Amino acid sequence: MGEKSAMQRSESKTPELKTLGDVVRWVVAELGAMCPSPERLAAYFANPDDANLRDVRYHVEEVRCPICRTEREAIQRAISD
Amino acid sequence: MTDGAEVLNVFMRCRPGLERFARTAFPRLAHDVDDLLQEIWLELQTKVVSSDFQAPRNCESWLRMLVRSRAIDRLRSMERQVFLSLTNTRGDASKSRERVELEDNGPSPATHAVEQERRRRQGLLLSDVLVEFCRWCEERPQRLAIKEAYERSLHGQSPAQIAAAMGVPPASVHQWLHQAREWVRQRVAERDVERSVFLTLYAGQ
Repeated sequence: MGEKSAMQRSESKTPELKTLGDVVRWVVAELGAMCPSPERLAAYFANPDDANLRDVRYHVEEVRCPICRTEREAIQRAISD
Repeated sequence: MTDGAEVLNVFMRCRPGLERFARTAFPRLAHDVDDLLQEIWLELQTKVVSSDFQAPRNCESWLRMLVRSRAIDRLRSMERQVFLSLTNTRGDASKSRERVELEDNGPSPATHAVEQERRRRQGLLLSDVLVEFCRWCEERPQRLAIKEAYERSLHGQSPAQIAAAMGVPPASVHQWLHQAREWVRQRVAERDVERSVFLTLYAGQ
């Protein structure tokens, strides 16, 4: 019973996928399909000017990946605490 | 105190921050964050007593990576569950579709459900392939430009715009995009052997 409710809840929150473009946006923005590896993301936060990490810079700063940016905010919060 | 015990202590101390991180980065899991963190807590208890466990240098960051990874696993698992539930009702949906379409010229709810199911399958397959593609690119520094160019193209940039943004000749961009698309196409073809999911991959539909 509880499992069914959880499934219905998650289904209701799934975005409407009308086109392949919707699918691509969903997997990139929500499922993190193009996110860099955790090691490279951490390396970028430590050294944003590293030329070997420019693909990560694009992903974080221009695409504004919500998952990766939340990670950065968490790191910044941990440093300031 | 052992390294393992220290990791568990850090988890308890950072738990509010980890909760906040999970809720912000994965809004769809907002109702499941407690369960998610409980599962991670149990996983950690097993992990830290294994003989090959080494405490990470930055424990808090490592824990966030673990939360992120398990959250993405959970999202994908949720989608698979929804997909399976749709698949199980597909027979009924097909029968009702015939009935409903006699009465209504627009797309019926059943047609819509079948299309949504196909899009979900596309998403799950594409997600797995793209993650694999990123790890493949990250194996060699010379492939990183392919990753960036391809991600830019996924976000709608033209080859000329990509070339300008990356400061490279357009010919290089064309070559990288061809390489990336061919890589993705091959992996999709390997997994979608019946071509039931991605018939329209390059038709832009």
